[in-house]
This record gives sequence, structure tokens and C-alpha cells, in this order.
Amino acid sequence: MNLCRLELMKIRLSTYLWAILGIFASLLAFGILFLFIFQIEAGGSGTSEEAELFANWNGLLALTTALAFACFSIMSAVIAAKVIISEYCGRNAVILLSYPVNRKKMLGIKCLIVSGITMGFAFISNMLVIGIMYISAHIFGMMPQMNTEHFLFTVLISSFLMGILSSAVGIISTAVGWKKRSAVATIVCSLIMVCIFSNCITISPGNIVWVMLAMGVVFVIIANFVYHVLADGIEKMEV
Amino acid sequence: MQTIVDVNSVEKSYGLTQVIKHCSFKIYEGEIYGLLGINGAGKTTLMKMMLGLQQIDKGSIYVLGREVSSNTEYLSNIGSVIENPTFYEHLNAGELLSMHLSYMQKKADISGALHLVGLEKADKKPISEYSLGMKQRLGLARAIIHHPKLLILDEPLNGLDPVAIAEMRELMRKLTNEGMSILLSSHIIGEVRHTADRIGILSDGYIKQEFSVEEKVTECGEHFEDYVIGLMRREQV
Repeated sequence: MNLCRLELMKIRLSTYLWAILGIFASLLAFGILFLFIFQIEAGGSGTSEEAELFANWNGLLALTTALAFACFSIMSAVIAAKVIISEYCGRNAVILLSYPVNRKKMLGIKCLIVSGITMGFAFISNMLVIGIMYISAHIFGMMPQMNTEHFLFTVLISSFLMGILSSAVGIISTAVGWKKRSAVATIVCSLIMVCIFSNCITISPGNIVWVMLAMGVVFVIIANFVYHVLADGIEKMEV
Repeated sequence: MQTIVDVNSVEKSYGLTQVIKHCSFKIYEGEIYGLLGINGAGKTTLMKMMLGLQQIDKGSIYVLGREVSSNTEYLSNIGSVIENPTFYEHLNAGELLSMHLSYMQKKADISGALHLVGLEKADKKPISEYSLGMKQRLGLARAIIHHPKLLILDEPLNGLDPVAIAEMRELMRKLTNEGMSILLSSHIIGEVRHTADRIGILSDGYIKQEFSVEEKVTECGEHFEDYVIGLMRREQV
């Protein structure tokens, strides 16, 4: 706990909290926009295949979750770039590695901070956005209603899995940043991953939980492998 | 006298370039040992090996009786300023030192340490607003606040004005009187001559000459600097 507190002291947490607030506001704005798209398309001459996504809650959930995954994955990589890459690849490495603290343990704490912040806020943000969308749609009668209990369960699970996926993207990107000794490489890697995998979430909105669960298992295995590679590298690191 | 640092036939290469070759020397309790060498002689590499920041290819280094290895416990008894000290610049001096003490798992008087280096009035100011000299002083405060038994200083007087240099020398002397040992590196002969008790000339990757400053100054008189430069120059060829 003490090491965790010390690591948090090194970063300006308020900067990231403001960023999270910005992401939440943007996601909410997009969510409300998605509701209006359904209204506009419904009043039009016909419905396109893409518009089907906006016509039911499964589609809206998939779209909003994919968007949240993209935002929080990039944010996770930004935090990892600051907390891990800038520390070990920058000039602070000399003082950081002069402390009588096990190097692997310190890296573990850093990864825990990156994953914890990402997972926690990604989960809360997605739950709130979908919740506000659902309540708004209910009040203004904008969307067909569905089984609330089943929908709540789907939102809960998909938000949780989205948090895991986002934090895994952050850790995987860190390996690339470590290899290149560059914070920018970390963020670029997360951008590339987001471009590819955000689409996977919207492939089958009806099976979003299963799709994300499969992705989650693969991502967690890769992130775990990457963490061990990183830990070995830092253990033998010379500055 | 108790041996604080024991460097035994240490070797270190970067690729095909051997920087340190069969280097051996000892530092005793309560002394200031000056490591003199031209730029690129391997002074910083040696210091980093003592801190476990660089791997040792061959030989061994014992610090405070324990071999430098993957075990990091001995580091809590070492203070260091390697190259230009770096900080988390959004913090103020008090916060930085408090964080440092937590990492070292020790307790100490933060305001007392800041007073020692003349930064007592700037302890609430963010470090980003510090001058180069103030950062050097803060680096030294961080190195000594946890009362280490060994202080490793890599060119610590860089960026300091003459008054601050004199104060720093006084401080180093005070610390050694309290039992602390200091390893001081520099390529400026005058800086080491006026501070160190013993000097080791690092050249061609090993300690070519080791002598007591007092004895050598008595022997060479005003030609002391020429003697040392001659030593260093000869070894370069």
C-alpha cells in the first residue's frame, strides 16, 4: 500500500481525472447522439444496414462500449507511458533503481496502478453512460423497451470486460514502448490496436458478452506474458 | 579502520570496448576518497556498479561488507548523486524528501536536512522553479537525509557558485567527522585536492596511482596539479 501511495505521488492524478471526465462527457454526448440517429433514421425513407445498429439496445450497447474501449485503451497507454516508460527509460531511472525495493515488485505496483485506474473508471463510465441513455430513452419514449434485468446484466458484464480489455491494451502497448524506449511508441501502438479491435466488439451485437469474453481471455494471456517479459527486462536493466 | 567499499579486480565492457580492467581499491570509514580521471575514464560506471545500476562482468564489489548483487537491502545505507540529479518537478522539496525517506524505509528530520544545504526557505516551492544550483543542493539533501554510511557523489559541485562550493566542502567534512565515508568523482583536480583525503587516479580502466593528498601535496608542493595532470596525460598515450 505504501509503495502504491508513493507511485501515485509521482504522477499528477488530477490530470488523468480531468481526462476521464472529458472522456465520460464525450461518450455521453455520443450516446445521446446515437439515440437521435435512430429517431432520424426511423422517420426517413428506409433503413440502411448500419442503421440497424442504432435501432435496438444491443446495437447501441455495442457501439457505446466499442467507443469507450477505444478511449480508455488510449488513456491506459498514456498513463502507462508516464508511469512506466518515462520512469524506466528516462533520467529518473537512476534514482528509481537506487532504492532498496525489489525491481519486479515496483513494476508490479506500477502495472497495478495503470490497470486499476483504467478498469475502475472504464467500468463506472460505461455503466453511467448506458444508464443515462436508457433512462433518457425511457422518459422520452425514444427506443423500444427491453427486459431491464437482462439488459442490466449485459451492461454490467460488458462494461467489466471492456475495462479489462482497455487495461490489457495499455500493458501490451507498454511492451512496445519499452522495446523502442519511447512513450510515443506506447501510445501509437495502443491507437493501432484500438483501430483493429474496436470493430470486433460491434461484429455481433447480440453476442457482445461472448465476443468480449473471448477477446478478454486472449488479451489477458498476452498482457500477462508481456508483463513477465517486461519484469525480466527491468530486472536485468542497466542505466 | 573499517573497510566500507572493497573493489576487487572489477571488469566491465560495453560491446567490444573494455571500460574497466582489473580495477581494485578500498574506501575506509570516515574518509573522503577522490576518484580522478579524464572524461570517459569510467568513474561513473564504477559508481553505478556500486549501486547495482550496472552489471559487473568480472570481479566483485563489497559495499558495507555485502557483495553487490541482486539483493537491494544494502542500498538503504547508501546515498548518491549520480550525474545531474533528477526530480519529480511538480513536488516541493519537503514532499520529495518525504517520498525518498519512505522508499528508504527510514525516518529523519526533513527541515534539518534542507537547512544543512541552505534550502530551508524554498521547501514549499515546486522543484520546477529551482535553479541549477538549488537542484544540486536538493540532490545532496536527498542523498544524506537518511544518514547513509556511504555517500557516492559524481561531480557534485557542478553548477555551484564559489560560496556554495566552500559550504559544500564544509558539509562533506562535517559528515565524515560523523563517520560517513564519501566517494567523490571529478575530472577537476582542484576540486578533489581541496576535498579528498585520498585520491585514486582512474586511467586505462584501473587505478594507476593512489595517494594521500596531504603527503603528495607536501612532496610536490605547488607542482601538485602538474604532477597529477602528467599522470593522467601519460596514461592517455
